Amino acid sequence: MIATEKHLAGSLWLRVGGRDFSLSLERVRRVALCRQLRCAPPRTGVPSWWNGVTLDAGQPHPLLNLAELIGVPAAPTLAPDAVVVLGSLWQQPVGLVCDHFRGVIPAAAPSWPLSPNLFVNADGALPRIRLCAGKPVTDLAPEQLFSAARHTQFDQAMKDSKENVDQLWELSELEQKLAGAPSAQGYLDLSARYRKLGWVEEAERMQARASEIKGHAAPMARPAHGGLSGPCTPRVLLELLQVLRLTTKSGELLLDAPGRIAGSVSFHTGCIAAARCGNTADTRAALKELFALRGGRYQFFPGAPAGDTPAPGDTAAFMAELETLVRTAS
Amino acid sequence: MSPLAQAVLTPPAGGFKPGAVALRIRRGNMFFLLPRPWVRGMRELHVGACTPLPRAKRWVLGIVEESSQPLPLLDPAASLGATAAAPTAAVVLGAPDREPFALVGADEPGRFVSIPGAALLEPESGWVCRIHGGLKSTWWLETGRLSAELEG
Repeated sequence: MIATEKHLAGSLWLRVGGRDFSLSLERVRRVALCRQLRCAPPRTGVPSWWNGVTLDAGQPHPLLNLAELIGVPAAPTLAPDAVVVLGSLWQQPVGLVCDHFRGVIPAAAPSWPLSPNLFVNADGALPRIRLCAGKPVTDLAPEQLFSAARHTQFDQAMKDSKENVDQLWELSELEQKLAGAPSAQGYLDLSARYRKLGWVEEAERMQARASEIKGHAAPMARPAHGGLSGPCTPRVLLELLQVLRLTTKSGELLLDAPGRIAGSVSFHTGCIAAARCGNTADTRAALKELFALRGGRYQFFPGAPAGDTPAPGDTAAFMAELETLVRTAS
Repeated sequence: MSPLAQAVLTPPAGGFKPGAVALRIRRGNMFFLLPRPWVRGMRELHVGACTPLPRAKRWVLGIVEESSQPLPLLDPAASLGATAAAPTAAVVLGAPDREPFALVGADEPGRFVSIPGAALLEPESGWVCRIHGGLKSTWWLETGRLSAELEG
């Protein structure tokens, strides 16, 4: 979503459990969607606000569910489109899980104290209130959500998740290697390991990847290193698709996001035959998602994918749509 | 003097005195008198104008934007333990020389009345006091106590 490499002033406007909150940008490093992160799910017996651990920028970030911490209605599970604010609390990297990201509130926006005599202020965690688009937005001081008891629970959960985090490191590396030299068996083995750890979603993703490779004879036989490869940005991806279309290529374009396979685009004589991104198999939707990726790499493996030649009209329509998307974004 | 008359008193604070002008608002089957100098304005409340927040007092309905400032919306009926439908109007309240500090919910726009000569206040612990003598089911809004409640 957004990368905040330079220091920004102001606050993030977030929606949690049907309510609006603002979070100071001071300690926020970046904001991501849950599906863009590799997460180790929580073990049993952890507090309801502990949503597992994610790896980001080479560090484990415990995922803390803000709705559960504040005491507003929370989603039963960690949704793929949940927003994760990656930053720090007491010098500890954390990911704060919320429902939606609504924008950035300028630093100059006035705020008023929220009377603890009238409103529940969660022991000082909700000290002030401000107006954004006419709606009250409560300031959030997340440190205040942690009583001594919660601190103890936090430390314990962090200690207990060490094994899960180590597994996540190892499997992430394995997956990265597989992205370079894909094999159906490799993905099946990885799927089994994920399943053994109880990471069903990851296991199914690997299973799907294995089936995808099995169903495509040519890509299975592809070399470990394809002909074309390099860093991928939306503009590069657009130009790449245009070149593959104009040169009537057949094969598979793999896109890797950091630590995982993000998706693929299959070409049949210059026409887009299929595209996949994570769990999204619909070509149009998957292409749009692929164009939202940042910091990825691409690799093109020439070969003839199975199936009939798709209609060239569809590819032309996709390309027109993607060109508009890139132009609008830039 | 009757026992009731002995039990009631007229506090000097809050501007309650016979003949003084006050805004009378209706809330459910009760009426409330608001001292004229504290009435800063009257407004309608459309659906969704009030954003509910987890409250510490049952008579707080939520937050309403008033002149680009969030103000608490208060329900005088709830302060007496009564229930009433969501208010459709509100009175903006504030000390004469200060910024508005709250809105008081009402069922309809109020009207200004004079406090009858025989009116007396019954002491209460909350921020509204029952009025005896000439006014039925009517309470007086004690602005001083309300300010203290809001400020803690």
